[in-house]
Amino acid sequence: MDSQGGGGGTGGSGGRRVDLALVDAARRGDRAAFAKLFELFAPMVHGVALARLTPAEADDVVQEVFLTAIERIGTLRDSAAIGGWLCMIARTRSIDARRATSRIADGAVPEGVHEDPDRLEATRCLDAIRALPEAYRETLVLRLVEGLTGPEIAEQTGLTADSVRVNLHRGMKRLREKLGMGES
Amino acid sequence: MSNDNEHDDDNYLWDKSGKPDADLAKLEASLSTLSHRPRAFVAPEAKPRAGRSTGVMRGRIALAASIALIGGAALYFSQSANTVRGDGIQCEVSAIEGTSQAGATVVKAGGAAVSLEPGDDVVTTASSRARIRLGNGIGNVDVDPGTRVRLEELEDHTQRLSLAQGSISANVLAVPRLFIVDTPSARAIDLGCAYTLAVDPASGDAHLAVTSGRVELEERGRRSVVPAGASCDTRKGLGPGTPYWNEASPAFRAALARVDFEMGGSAAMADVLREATASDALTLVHLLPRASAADLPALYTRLAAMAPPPDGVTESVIVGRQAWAQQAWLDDVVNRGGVPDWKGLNPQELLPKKSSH
Repeated sequence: MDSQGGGGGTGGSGGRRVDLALVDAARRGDRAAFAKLFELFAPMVHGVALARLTPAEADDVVQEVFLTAIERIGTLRDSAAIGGWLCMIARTRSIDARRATSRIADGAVPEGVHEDPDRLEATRCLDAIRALPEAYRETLVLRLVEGLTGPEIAEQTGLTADSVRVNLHRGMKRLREKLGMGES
Repeated sequence: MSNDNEHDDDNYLWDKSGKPDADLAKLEASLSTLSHRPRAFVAPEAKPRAGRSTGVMRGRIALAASIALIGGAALYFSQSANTVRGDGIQCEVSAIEGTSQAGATVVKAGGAAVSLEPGDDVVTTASSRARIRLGNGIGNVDVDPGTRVRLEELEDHTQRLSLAQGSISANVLAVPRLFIVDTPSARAIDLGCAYTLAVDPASGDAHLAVTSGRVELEERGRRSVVPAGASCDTRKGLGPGTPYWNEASPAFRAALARVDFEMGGSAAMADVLREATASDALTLVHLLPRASAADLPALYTRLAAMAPPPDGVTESVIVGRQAWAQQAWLDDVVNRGGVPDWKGLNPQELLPKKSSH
C-alpha cells in the first residue's frame, strides 16, 4: 500500500527527497554516501524516537539506529525502502529503550528545563502530542518538531501520503483540543 | 474561524503552503526547539561480526554518542573502515542446553558452533535447546526442545527456514521480508520483529505470537498482519486465521475460531461482533475481506466505532468489496504501531466525523 517510494532523484520540497543513487552507493559500502543519508534521515529518526522518549534518549537512539543501519545496509534489497527500513529500526529501538528505562511519564520534565520557560512550554506541548494515539503522535512530531512537510514524512517513513495527511489533520484537531487552542 | 482559514491551515500543515493561524505558528516555533540538532555520527571502526554481544554494542553506542556530543556538527566517518558486506554469508548453530543435531554434526552445550548449510536440519531432543545465528548478522533463532527445523535458503536477499514440528523464537532485525519461516499451514514473513512460532507435529497447525515489530502470515490467498502483542493461529489446508490481541477474551477467540476454521457463518460472525471490545479493531479489520456480503454492514459499523476509517473508505465502498479500501483501513489500523492506542477510550470519541480536507 504504499507508494511514496522513493522516487529517485533529488529535489522536492525542502530538498530532503531521497536520492536512490546515494542509497545504492551506501549499500555498496560508500561511507561518504552513508554520511549523507545520516544527514538526510537523522531528523526523521529523531522524530520517531522523540514521539516515545525524552530528548536525551532520542539523541542516543539516533546514534544507535545509524550504527545498526551501517552494519546492515548491505542487506537492504530495495534502495527505495531505505526510509521505511530506518523508520522500522527507529521504532523498534525506541520501544526497546522505553521498555528499558520506563522513564517517560506524562508531565515529566527533563533536567535543566525548569529554568528555561521556552523549553518548558515546548516540553508541555510535546507531552500533549505524546498523549495522542500513536499514528498522530509520530506524524505530528515529524511535522511540528522536525519541520518535515507531509510529502517528506510520507517519503521518509514509507507511509502513504493519504495516511500522513489524515493523521496530520485529525492529530492536529485533537492536539488543539488538548492544548485548549482555538479551532482554526 | 472561516473555512478559508481552515483550508489554509490544512495546506500549511501538509506542505507549508498557505498561512498558519497564530496558534499553530506559535506551537511550531516552540516545538522546533526540540528538533534534531546536527551532530557527528561516528561509524564503527571495523566490520562488525554476527552475534556480537549486546554489551559490546551498548559500549560502542555509548562511545559513539559521547564522541558525538563533543564532536561538533561535522560528520565524520572513518575512512579505514571496511565495507559492510562480507565475503560470504554464513549461518551457524550452537547448543544452548544439552545435545542437538545440526546437519550431520552433533553440537553440545559449551562446544563450538557449527556451520549450517541449506538442506541441513537442526533437531533438538526433549530436553535440549539450540541457537541458529542467521547470516549477515540479522539475528538469532532459538530452537526449543522437541523441534525439527531446516535451513532451506541462505542468500543475501532471502534466508528461509522450514519448521516441521516444535517451536522457535526468532529475534530478527533485517529489512522486511528477508527472513521467512515456512510451516505446513502458513508462511511467516518477518517484517522486522521478534516472535515465537510453534507447529503441532500431528496436525501441522501452527500458532504465532509476536513480541516486537510485526509478522505477516500468508497461505492460500489469505494474509494476516500480526503486530507485537498479538497472536494468530493457522490450520493446515486453510492457512492463517485472523490475528487477535493476546488479552482478547476466551469467548471472543472461540467465536473467531469458528469464523476462521469451522465455517461458522453469520452466527459465528455475530458472536465475534458481540464479544468484541473497543480494542479489537485489529481483528475486525482483518475480517473485512473474509466476511460474507450479508455480514459486512454490521462489521463496518462495529469497526468504524473502534477505529475511524481512512478518508474515502465508506460503508458502500466496503460493502462493494473494494480491495484498496480494505487495505487502506488495515494499514491505518496496523500502522498505529501494533499498540491499541484507542484501547480504553470511549468509542464514540473515535466515530468517523465529516472531514473538511
